[in-house]
Order: sequence, then structure tokens, then C-alpha cells
Amino acid sequence: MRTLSAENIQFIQNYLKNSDVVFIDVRLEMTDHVASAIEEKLNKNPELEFYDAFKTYMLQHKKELLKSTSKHRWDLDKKALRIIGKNMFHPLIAGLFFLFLGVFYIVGFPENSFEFLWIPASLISSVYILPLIIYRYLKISFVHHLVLLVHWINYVIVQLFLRANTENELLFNSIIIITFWFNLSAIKTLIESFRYYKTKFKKA
Amino acid sequence: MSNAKLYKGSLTTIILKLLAEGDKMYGYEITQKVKKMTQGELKITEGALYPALHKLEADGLLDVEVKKVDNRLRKYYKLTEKGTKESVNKLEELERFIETIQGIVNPKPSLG
Repeated sequence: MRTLSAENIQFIQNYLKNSDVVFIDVRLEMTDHVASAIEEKLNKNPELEFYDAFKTYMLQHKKELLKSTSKHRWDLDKKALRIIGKNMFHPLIAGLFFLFLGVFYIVGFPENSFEFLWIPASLISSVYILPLIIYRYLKISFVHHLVLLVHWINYVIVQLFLRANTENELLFNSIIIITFWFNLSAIKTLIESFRYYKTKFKKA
Repeated sequence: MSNAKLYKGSLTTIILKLLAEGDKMYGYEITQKVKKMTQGELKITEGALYPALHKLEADGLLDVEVKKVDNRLRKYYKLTEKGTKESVNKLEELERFIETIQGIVNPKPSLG
């Protein structure tokens, strides 16, 4: 039984990478699919060379193979939203949320004080910078969708802030609180996803 | 394949059925198993299979396991608890659909 060498596998991976299959999870699955099909061809015809088998396979299947990568995967957006929603009620996130709520309504933030600016600054930085670092390090389709979704939702929230009537204190404060809650959950989801996929695809 | 559109709606059920019968399977294995079971009548394309598998995974019906096999990583799919329940429902749905279509294509002669 003929199996492909590490060099052959690398060749397939490079080909797919150059064909804009950027996500590691998608690429490794396609590589295995192509490799399995080529191995079958090689075992049926022992005189066939790897490059000939690869060329024949790609001529017949490239269009179908790359078809799924060009589509936007709404299922991943749904999955990301579902996990963020679930994490909003996680004891840690809910606990931090109620702590924030307590500080916000009972103690209140000291006005014109720069001492406490690190709290919103670090949260905003985490939501905007952390995903970019994570995505740069681990190009996984789910992480990509999660990052885009969090950025879009935050964009909508910022627009709401800009248009909100500042005299309506209840509405304004509600937006701040929900934003804080959502972003805390988003950060938790990002870190969890990063750890999960890093373990799963660490060899890729 | 001329009747690809007829099979398209049943792809999810086919995948769930195959995974319910076995332990875990990878993409290429699914395409080959279907090809063999249908004597080449049904060929699942890569463009149809992977989006269906990914959707089932995102919906929580399939779980994924990654293993190193022959110099490469292989993504195995297996049913989750939710997926096992869903496979039973989907199969029942498909059987009812086949019966309905059979009733139209080959109607039983009425006694009256």
C-alpha cells in the first residue's frame, strides 16, 4: 500500500495555500482529502507518479474543492453568537458583570479621574487587539468569524453611542452595561476558542 | 449525475445515518462509502460534503477529533448525543418522504 511522503503532503498544502485556502482547519481537511484520493489512484495504478496523479486530480476536482471556501459561513456566525450568549451567563462573567453593575450604580466612577481609566481602556484594547493577535497566530475559520462578528457588533454599539440621547440616562447607562457584559463574554469566548483550536491543530 | 438535485436534500441525513452506523469517519471515507453502497450511482462532491459536515458541526450535531495519520492530520467526525437523536428523527422523516413519493409514483389500486 503506497502512502504519500511528508514532502508530497507539504506540496499539496503549499498548493492549497497558494490557492487562497488560508484557514488551517479547512486546509488540513482538504489536504487529507486530496492525499487520500491520490493514494487511491497510486494504489490502483502502481506505475503512476505522484505529480501526474495530483495534476489529474486537481484538473477534475479543483473547482469543487475550492467551492466551499469562497462562501460566507453563516453557521459559524450563529455558533459564535450562541457561545458568546452562553458565556454571558457563565459564573465568572456574570459575577464580573454584577460587580461592574454594583460599582456603576452604588459607588459610581470618580469623575475626571485618570486613575480608573485603565478599566475601560484595557477592556477596549482587549476586545480590539487580542482578537487580532489571536487570529494572526492561529488562522482558524471559527476564530476569524468570531473576531469579525465581535468587531461588527462593537461597531454597531459605537454608532448607537454616538446617536444616543445623552440626556436619557437610563438608555445611555444600559448601552454601557450591555456593552461591558457582551465584551467580557466575547473575550472569554476568544480565549477558550484559541486554547481549544491550538490543542486540536497544534501539529498543523 | 443527472439526479443530483434529488439527492441534495438528503445529504445531511445520509451523513448522519453513516455516522450512526459507524464510530467515526473522515470526509473522503464518507464519499467512498456512499459511492460503494450505491454502486457509484451517488457521488458526493467535495463542494457539497464539507459545507454539510461543517454545518452539522456548527449546529452541535457532530464532534471533531484530529489525528495524525500517514504524515498528515485527519479530521474525524462523530455524532454527539444531540446528533444521535437528530439522526433518528431525520431517518424517520426521510422514510415518510419516500413512502409519500412511492404513493404518488406507484399508487395502490383502490378496491372501490
